[in-house]
Order: sequence, then structure tokens, then C-alpha cells
Amino acid sequence: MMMSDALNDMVEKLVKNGKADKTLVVAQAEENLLTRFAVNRIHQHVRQETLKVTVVVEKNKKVGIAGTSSLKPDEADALLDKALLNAELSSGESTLELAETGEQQFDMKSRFVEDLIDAHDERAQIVASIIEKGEKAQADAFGVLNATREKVIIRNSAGTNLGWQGSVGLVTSSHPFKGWASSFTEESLRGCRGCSPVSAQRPPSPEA
Amino acid sequence: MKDFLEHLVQKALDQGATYADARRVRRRTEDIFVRDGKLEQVQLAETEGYNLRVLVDGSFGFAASYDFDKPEKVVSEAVGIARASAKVNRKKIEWHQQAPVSGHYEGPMEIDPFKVPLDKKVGVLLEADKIMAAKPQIKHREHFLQFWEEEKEFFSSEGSYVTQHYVESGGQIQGTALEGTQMQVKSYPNSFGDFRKAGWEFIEEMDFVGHAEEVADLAVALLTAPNLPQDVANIIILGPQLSLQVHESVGHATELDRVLGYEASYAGTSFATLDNLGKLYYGSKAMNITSDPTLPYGLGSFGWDDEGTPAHQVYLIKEGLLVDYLSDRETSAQIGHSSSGASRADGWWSLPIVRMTNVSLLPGDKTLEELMDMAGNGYMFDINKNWSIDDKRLNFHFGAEAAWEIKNGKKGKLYKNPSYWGITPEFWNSLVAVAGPQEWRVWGLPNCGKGEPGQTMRVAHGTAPALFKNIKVGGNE
Repeated sequence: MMMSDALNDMVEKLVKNGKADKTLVVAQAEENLLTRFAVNRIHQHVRQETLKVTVVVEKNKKVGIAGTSSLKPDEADALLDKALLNAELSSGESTLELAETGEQQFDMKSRFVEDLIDAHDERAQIVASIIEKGEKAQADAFGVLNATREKVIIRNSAGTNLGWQGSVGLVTSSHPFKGWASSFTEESLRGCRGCSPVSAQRPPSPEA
Repeated sequence: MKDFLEHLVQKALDQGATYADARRVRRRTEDIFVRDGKLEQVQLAETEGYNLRVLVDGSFGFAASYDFDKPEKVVSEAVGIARASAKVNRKKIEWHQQAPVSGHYEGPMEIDPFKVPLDKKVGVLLEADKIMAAKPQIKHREHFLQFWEEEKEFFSSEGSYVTQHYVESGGQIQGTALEGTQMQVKSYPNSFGDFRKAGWEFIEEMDFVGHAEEVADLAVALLTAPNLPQDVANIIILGPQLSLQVHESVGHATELDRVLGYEASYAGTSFATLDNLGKLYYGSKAMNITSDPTLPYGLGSFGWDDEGTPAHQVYLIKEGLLVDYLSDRETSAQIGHSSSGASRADGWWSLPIVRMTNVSLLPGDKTLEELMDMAGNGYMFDINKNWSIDDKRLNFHFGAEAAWEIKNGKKGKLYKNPSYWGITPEFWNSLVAVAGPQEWRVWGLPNCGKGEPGQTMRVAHGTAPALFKNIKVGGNE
């Protein structure tokens, strides 16, 4: 997935910028596969590949923030300049507290989820089995199947370098129930003065 | 980038799609926050990416990416996803064919806010803050400005190609008064701020500095105001609060995907089911609600929605009768209507779904003074403080920052912690009259949540003060 090398290079360039007194970079790249189903059909099946890089700088006891979704070669410099400009224009003193947690890398990939991300047919078949159960019960199946691959980098100029990559967020839910379409019932409108849900009779006018 | 989008669409057709559309979106935002006399944060962000939606074997697939170097991956993913869904879906999607559209939409703007010097922008908030801070009971202040620029391109296999560009500006000032155990918050001009498709001129029009003292005074006055007594009363709801009432109890309830059950697992359904279309008197004769993205300054204004449907006005409720829904090309086809032009995505990464545009309560012909006279005795509610509503959009409760007594048709004393509650059709059938065009304005709402993964849409609601009879009201600490 996700252009790891380009992302690592950009984060490295930002952390070692040499212009700010302190720098924090948070980068998050995500590949999300989501299958939503309702009324016994898949109505939303999407793949989203997203990226967000945020840099926070402190310069002369002033803090500025800027963010981007681009990994273009000149983007690191442009992003840093924006953050520094924002810091320069800030009023009053504020400081950026940096954690000193050293270097730690976490890899928490789930083989099952990894496979599921790349297997469109398998995801659809899981949903199909839920729908089938719903239909057998003469009910409608509603729910979502979500599989996400994610990479997060948190680095700062105090030497903290935290990396996390994994595949998480698999949530499967189904809510089969019957008769939702008749939700607007007399019972649900108990106490409603004069408004009949399926009547073309106009209720009495509430004129002053 | 037309060539890039056209390439995506053509590749999808080559791989078996019977329809494809591609969107590219670039967004630039600037957020400025001032808290207690200090500039707390200025945040600049940019994002750009694209997506492809394809129809293969009667099912949709969608893929989005920020990586412009790998369009083939996006095409193969979208087509593969659609093909997998088609194996599950027994019924093929039927939707409206659409005549090709082309052109450019440019949002209204006089002064580009991104070219206004940052110290001038911050200065407005700091000056308003200073005025509010002069009141000793105002212990905490928070203010913000937000500017948002977006350019969008849309290309479809039907031959449509449209481009859109607009700027949105908004902001808010807010003061919190504290004394003993009492705390009261007052905001201007609305509790979520107010936003428009406009430039810096809208910030000047809101005149935060000119309103700062009044906002602070009201927050302080609320500290010693009595709670609104429990009552059944005639109430006038002013424009800002009424905009949220329209949003929650009409806008969401008339979203056709909710009505058809597609949002049941997350956002909820709607009491306004299909058997009520053309039959349900949602409200009194004074209630006329439209979806109208052609309004010039609304956050829900555009030239074309995100599947190329041209902006147009649609009545959702006409003289109280439910006559249509907010819809897109797919959902509208299921009920034999045409799309209301409400297919919207909150960014390049998102699939367009049915969203509000500018959903407005049309003006009547009264003045606020005439409404107060008609009310006789009652209460007047200003801007929102809190709310809750069930997943069918039927039972609701709204709290406002302040309310005033109406006594013999005149504005009277101030009450704190006011709230009112009701059942949606009963409440709207209690609508007596709406103030006229001179008091009607469009309120921007930047944070409408819906969908999975969650999408945050920017919508708007035109409202004027309106009089409702016999509404349950009360106040609590």
C-alpha cells in the first residue's frame, strides 16, 4: 500500500528541518475497505486511501500548525514554511511540549484482515451469508464490514520516533429486524393532536 | 485535470463498467482560534485527491486516493469492488439516465479571505475578546474564524464535465459568565458560528467587535435570570434556533436513503415513510420547506451535485403536505421521482450520499412584532444550546441559550436554561405563521454528520422567526 518510502522521507525531512526550535510531525496513512449493507443488499462498497501529515513547530516561543495530504517532492518545504509563518503570527508565548520516548516500532498486522482488505469477493461473501440468515428469518439485514490497514508515524525533534502499522478495525455487525417500514404507527404518535399519518385530511389550523 | 479524469472513466469502461464518474477535489482551509485573549492556534491545511465510481453488472464500486501516480490501481479496485457486490446483489441498480452537463460554477465572493493579512483576521477576534473581557463575570472567551476554499472537477461517462470553485467564510464569538455555582454561555451569531459562501466581507458584515458587548452583557444577565417555568405556551422561535429545528426534524427526516432503510444501521431511519408521501400533513398550511442549492450564499449551494445533477429547487413540504424527499439518482428512481440534486460527498475520499443542501422554511408575510402580537403571551427562544432527537426524527427536545417572555405582545423579561420539546408532525402542525422575507436569512451549518465512515457536510437553512401554538416548554439547571 501507501508509499512508505516517500512518507518516511517526508517525515524525516520535516523533523530535521533546521529552521524551527522544536518540531513534531504526525503522519497517518490509511487504506480502508468498507462494505455497508441494508435491506438485504450491499448499498455501499468503497476503498479509501487517505493520507494526512501534520507538522507542529515552535519558533521563538510561538507555535504554528499546518497539514497536507500530498507527498509531492517539494511539499515538505511548503508545509514547514506555512507552519513557521503561522507560528510567527501567533500572539503571546506558547510552547510545544515534546515527549522523549525514544524509538519504538509496532507491527500489529492481522493476516485475516490483511487478506480481507485485498479480497473483494470474500468481503462480499461474508455479507452475503449475513443477508442469507436475515432472509431465512424473514427479516432485513443491516450492518457494516470494515477492514483497515493503517500506518502512523509520530516523530519529534527530541528524538521520539514512534511507528505503528497494522490492520485493524474489522467490525462486522448485523441488525436484522422485521417490519421497520411500518415505523410510523398510531402508537408512535400517541398524543399527536390531529395528525394522521396516512390521511389526506388536513388537521385543524392552529391559527392565532 | 480533465484528461486525468477522462482517462479514469475510459479505463473503467474498458474493464466492463456500464457507467463511471470521476471527481477531483482540492481543498484549502484556514482555522483561527482565540481563547481568553490569546491566539491559540492558526491552522492551515490542504488536501487533494480523486475518486472513481463505477457501475458494473448493476452494482456500484468506489475507490479514492491521494496518489495521482497510480490511477490504474484506483480503476481496478473500483471495478473489482463493484463486481464483487454484484455477485451478492440480486437486484440490479436502476437509476435515472441524465443528459450531459457542462459548465463552471463560481461561488460569490468580494474579498478573498486568504489574501487578508492574518494579523487583521486575528485582530478582529482579539478586539472582540477585549471588549468581552472587560466584564468581570465573563471568565472565559472562545472565538474562531474559518475560511475554506474548494475546487472540484467532475467527469462522467454520460459526457458530463463540470468544474466548481468557491470560498466559504465563517466564525463566532462566545463568552462564558461565571458566578458562584452559576455558569451561562452566550454565542454570536449562532452556537455553531455562522458560515456563508462568501469572502471576508461576510466577517465584516457579522461585526464581531460591534456585537461583543451585547453578547457579554447577555451572558452576565443570564446568571441572575430565572429558569423558564414549565408551561404549555405560544412560542416564537428565532431564525438561528429554527434553522436547527428544520435541520433535525425535517432535513434528516426527508433524506430518502434513511426512508428506504439504508442508514438504519448507523444514522437511523425516518418516520416520514413512503406510505406518507403525498398524504402526511407534516405541518400546518404555513409550512413550506424547500431544498434549494441555487440560493446564492448557502453552504448547500452549488452548480451541480456530486453526481452531476444540476442545482434546482425542490419542494419537500408544500403548505404542510409531504410532497418529496431529498434524493440522488439512485434513491429517487426507486420511488419514481427525479433526483432532487442532493448527492454530496464531504471530500475526495468520500462516496456521495443523500445530504441536505439549503433546506429552508420559506418566509411568510408577518413581522416579528406582528408575531409577538399574535402570540399574546408566551416565550421567544434564540439560539441553540443543546438538543436530542430519536433515530426516526420524531421525538425531540431543544434547549436554547436564552428566552424572553412575551407579555401582551411585547418582549419582556429574560429567562435562562429554556427548552421546548414535542413530536415532529404535532409540532409543525402547531406552526401559526412565519415572518416575512425581510426577516428571513440563510444560516450556515458546517457540521452535519452522517454515513459510515462518518461524513461531515456543510449545509444551510433559510429561516425567519416563526410562531408556534401550545408547545411544551420548561427550564432546568
